[in-house]
Amino acid sequence: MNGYAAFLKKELTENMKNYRFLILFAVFLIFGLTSPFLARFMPEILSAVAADMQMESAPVVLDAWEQFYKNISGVGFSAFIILFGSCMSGEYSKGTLVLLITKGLPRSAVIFAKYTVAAVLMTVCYWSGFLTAYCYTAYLWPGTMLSHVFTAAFYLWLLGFLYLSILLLGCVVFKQTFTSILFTGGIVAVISLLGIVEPLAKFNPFLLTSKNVDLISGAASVSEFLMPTVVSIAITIIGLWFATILFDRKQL
Amino acid sequence: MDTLLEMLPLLIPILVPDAVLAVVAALHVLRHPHYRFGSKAFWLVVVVVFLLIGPITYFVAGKGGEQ
Repeated sequence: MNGYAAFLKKELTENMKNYRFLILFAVFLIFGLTSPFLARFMPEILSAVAADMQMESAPVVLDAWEQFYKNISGVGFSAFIILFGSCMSGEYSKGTLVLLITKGLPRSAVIFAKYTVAAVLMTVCYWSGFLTAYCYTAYLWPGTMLSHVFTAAFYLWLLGFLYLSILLLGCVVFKQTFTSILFTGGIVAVISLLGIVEPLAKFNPFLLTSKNVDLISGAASVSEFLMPTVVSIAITIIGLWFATILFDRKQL
Repeated sequence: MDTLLEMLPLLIPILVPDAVLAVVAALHVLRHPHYRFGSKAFWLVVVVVFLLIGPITYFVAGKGGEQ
């Protein structure tokens, strides 16, 4: 446990110093701000750019959340995966882990510390972005209340843990940053493709990112999210477990 | 034009994080004159002109390793 705490501290410092945290925080904050803003002013922007283009309906609060979920689940999480894709490859190429492990740092502590830091940073960035979007939306559309706004955000947050677990597994299996990112992208693509298969769709973790807006609008119910949540948490734990097993056998 | 002026106060909170990133990246460019590619002038322009994308590109791809 002592090794874990020390490595955790090292990881946190590293992520502060190499600007990873700053970039991600800014990206999520900007998405939180631009999503409601663009949704609200899109008609004005369109008519200013092209006078003959008209939007059929006035923008509603739901548009803002639609923008937010599209941005965060797409670009936001991609940025996270790309930036954290180098979390192990840098250690491999510089050989910085060899010394620590030969001096008695448990290998599992490395994996758990890396995952904890990534998960903590993801949580901080994600909820800051969400809170910004929430306040800005409330400001731009005063007096409108929607149900399940926090619940919908909670489910996408859970999916973030799944992505990070797959990424860490990829980082353990492959030596290079690019292949780890490709691995994560591939697995995520497979999961989303499985969403098309009808009997499996109900259990697919991908539902956690595709139905958030439906949950807010009332087209989907919370009970639909139960099974995907369980599956998502299960895959997250299995991914981490595999990562520790494979890392135990890996030659550094 | 009126709508643009009307939108401006709402745009400012969006521009603040962009500006902070640009300034942090520009300071880093000036203080660490080693890049994976490109020159000091090149990165200064990229970081300041392309808001958000510029600083991210610099920190991910352009920043030289620690010596």
